[in-house]
Formats: sequence, structure tokens, C-alpha cells
Amino acid sequence: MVTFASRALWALGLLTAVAAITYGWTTNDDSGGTLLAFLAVGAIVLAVAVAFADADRAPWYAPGAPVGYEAPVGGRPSLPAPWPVLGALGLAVLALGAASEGGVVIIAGVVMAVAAGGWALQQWSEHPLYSRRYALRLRERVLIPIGLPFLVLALIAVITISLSRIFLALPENGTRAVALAVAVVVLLSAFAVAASARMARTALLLLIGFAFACLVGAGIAGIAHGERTFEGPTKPVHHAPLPPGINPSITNGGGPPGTTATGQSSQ
Amino acid sequence: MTAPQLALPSGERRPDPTITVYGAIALAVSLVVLLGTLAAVYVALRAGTHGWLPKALNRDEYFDNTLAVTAFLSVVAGWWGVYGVVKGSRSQAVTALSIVVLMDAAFLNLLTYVVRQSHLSPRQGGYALVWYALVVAIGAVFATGIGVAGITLARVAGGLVSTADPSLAWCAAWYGTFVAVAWFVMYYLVHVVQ
Repeated sequence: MVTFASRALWALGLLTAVAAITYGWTTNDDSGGTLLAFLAVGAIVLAVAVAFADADRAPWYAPGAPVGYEAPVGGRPSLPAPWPVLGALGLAVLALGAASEGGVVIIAGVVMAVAAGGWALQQWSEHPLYSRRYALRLRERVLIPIGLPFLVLALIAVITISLSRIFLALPENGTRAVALAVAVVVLLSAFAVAASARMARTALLLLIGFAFACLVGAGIAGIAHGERTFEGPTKPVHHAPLPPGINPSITNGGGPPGTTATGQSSQ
Repeated sequence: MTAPQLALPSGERRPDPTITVYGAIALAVSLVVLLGTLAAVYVALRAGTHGWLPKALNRDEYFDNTLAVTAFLSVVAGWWGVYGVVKGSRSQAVTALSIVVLMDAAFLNLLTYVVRQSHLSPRQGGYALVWYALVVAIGAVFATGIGVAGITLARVAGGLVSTADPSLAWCAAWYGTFVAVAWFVMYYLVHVVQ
């Protein structure tokens, strides 16, 4: 029986192949057609591999192996790992950074470091001897004391930078309106969350995630738009000439009062 | 006279070989997409660049043909390795996979020589830039080919890949074929599409 994943990949590959031919035929753009054709090949190769893939094999142990080497019966299965996807994203950002700005390379480095760390920790946590009690102790002693301050600082930085990009991109009056709207939304949301005693944890996480994504998206749009033009004063500033003797070091080059910068008497 | 004491088998968990197979397939697919991206960039830049080929470009096909022959020999040796594993001839499989590693290493050696004698710099324009990107990608592909063949060689030599479970040998042969195809994609771009 062909699995759902294989059928989905077959569909993706065939549709992409059709798109490649159609795109190349109608636009004469060979580069787009080439890109789509290679994507189609990749999807079809994966579809074939998934179609022939066996189920996971049970771990094999030598006869008489110590019980401590064997995984406990009924343990939780390996979790799906998001880290390869995050690592691929980091590599793509790295390629973009190499072609654009150095700051993007730093972001790529951070993303790849997070992916590598998370991947290593997940693999470590799936060892048969890794227990829930040990995980709880590790989280309370290491992860929360070290990770939480960094996470909070990063969150504050992202929110502040995103808001500042939005404010710099908008016109002056729009900035005021958005600042007021953000303050009202934050206040009302906090009131709603505090007043709702039975709000589901998932709903709360979705709400926070949506708000965060909107904020970061608006910040990126602000960066793409660029800062607004800041106009200087249109009228010249009138002021009376500086009275002699107020700042002698400037008016006469540090000489005694009543002389010019060349040392001659001003009278 | 007492019987000789036999060594006890290792009690460690035996790794699932299919994980390596699927890892190699995922790597191959990601490299297909990478090569496709570079090929698309090559075609796009070629269409929009006046004076696409640098004047100082050495169009000698001798080294590229030698690279193609080396890649082809690596593919043949990879499938010979599968034959050796399936037929239960470990010595043939080990010899074949050693040749794969050797041919891929020879390919990398010649590729670096081609880069040195090309006198191209990525700063010389779009062609040189994409050519360098393709060379780096092909070099990485062949380096991973050495890795996959080397792991398979070690497991064949250790008896973990055998007639009973030849999946890793099949994987190495298919991956070696893909590695060679990657070179032929670049060959087609540089010498046919130009």
C-alpha cells in the first residue's frame, strides 16, 4: 500500500513538473523552468524512497545483554525533530547573508547554533536512561536559570526593535496613532486574559504567537519600507551675534580679552 | 583440556542501518535542489549578462572529460560493490568500495587543479561567480560521496552489511550515481549550454 506521505510527494513532484513545463513554455524563462524541474525531481525521488521505506526496526540486543543497556518497555517513541528544518532555514539565511549584508550572516549563525544545540539536546533526551525526573531536575537547575533571562532579553529586544522600525517607517501622525493603538490592544488583551479564568493554554499560546508574528512581520515590513524623511527646520534660526568676551577661547583664539585671534588689538 | 573461551558478543544496541540509508537519500535530495538552484542562477545570469563568457576563459575540455571518466569509474565501482555484497563476496565489495573512495578523492584532486589553472576569480563577472559556486557545490557533493562510501566500506568490512541486509550497499551505489550525475549537470551547463 502506498502511504499518504508518498502519495503527497508524488502529487507535489508531478504538479511541479507540470508547472515547470507550463512556465517554461509560456514565459520562455529557462531559469524558472529549471528550478521547478529540479524541485520536481527531488520530490519524486523522495516519494519513491518513502514508498519503499520500511517501518522502524525494533532495537536489537545481543543475547544476555545487561538490562541497563535495553530501552524500557513502553517508553515514549522518538519525537519528530524540527531541528533539521531549522538548520536548513539557517543555511538559506546564510546564503542570503553572504550575498547581501554581514548582519544577516550573524542571524544565520544564531539560527544554526540554536538548531545544532536543540538537535543535540533532543538526541540526548531520547536515550533510554533519560527519565522524566532527571529531565525536571535538569530543567529547574540549568535550563530555566540560564535560558530564561536570555529568552526574556531576546524577546524585549525583538519587540523593541520591531516597534521602532514601525514607528520610523510611519508618518509622524501615524506613529502616534499606532503607538496609542498598540497600548490599547496590549491593555485590553491583558485585561481579557486576566479576567478569563478558564482560558485554554493552547488558545493563550496561539494568541501570543499570532501577536508576536504580526509584530515581527510589521517590523520587517518597516525595515523593507525604510525610514520616513525627517524634515529639518524650514526657517533659519535668528539669534543675536555672540557678544565679545563670552567665550574668549573661540572669539580670539585664547588671547586676552580685547584682542583678535591674530593677537592684534580689536579697538 | 579445557575448551577455548570464546569472546562474548557486544551487548550494545545494534544501530538501525535504515537510518543511514534515509539520511543519504535526504542528503541527495537536498543536493538536487541545491544544484537546481545553481543551474537556474546560471541560466538566468547568462540570459541577462552581456559578454557572458570571460575573454580569458580557457575552454579546454581535456580535464573536464577526465573528471567525467573518473566519475563514471566511481559509479561502476559502486555497483560492483552491490554485486559483491549481494553475492556474499566481501573481498569484492571491499575492493569495489575502496575504488569508489579512491576515484572520488582523485576527482576532488583534479577539480582543485582545474580551479588553479583556470585563472578565474569570482570577481571577474557573473560567469566566474556561478562557475565557482558550482565548483564548490560539486566538491561538496563528492566529499559527501566519499563519506557515504567510506561508511559503507567500514560496515561491509565489519560484516554489518551482508547478503542478509544489503540496503546500505544499495544506498551507496545509488548515492554514487547521483554524485556522478551532479558532475554531468555542471558539465552540461559549462560545455553545452555555455
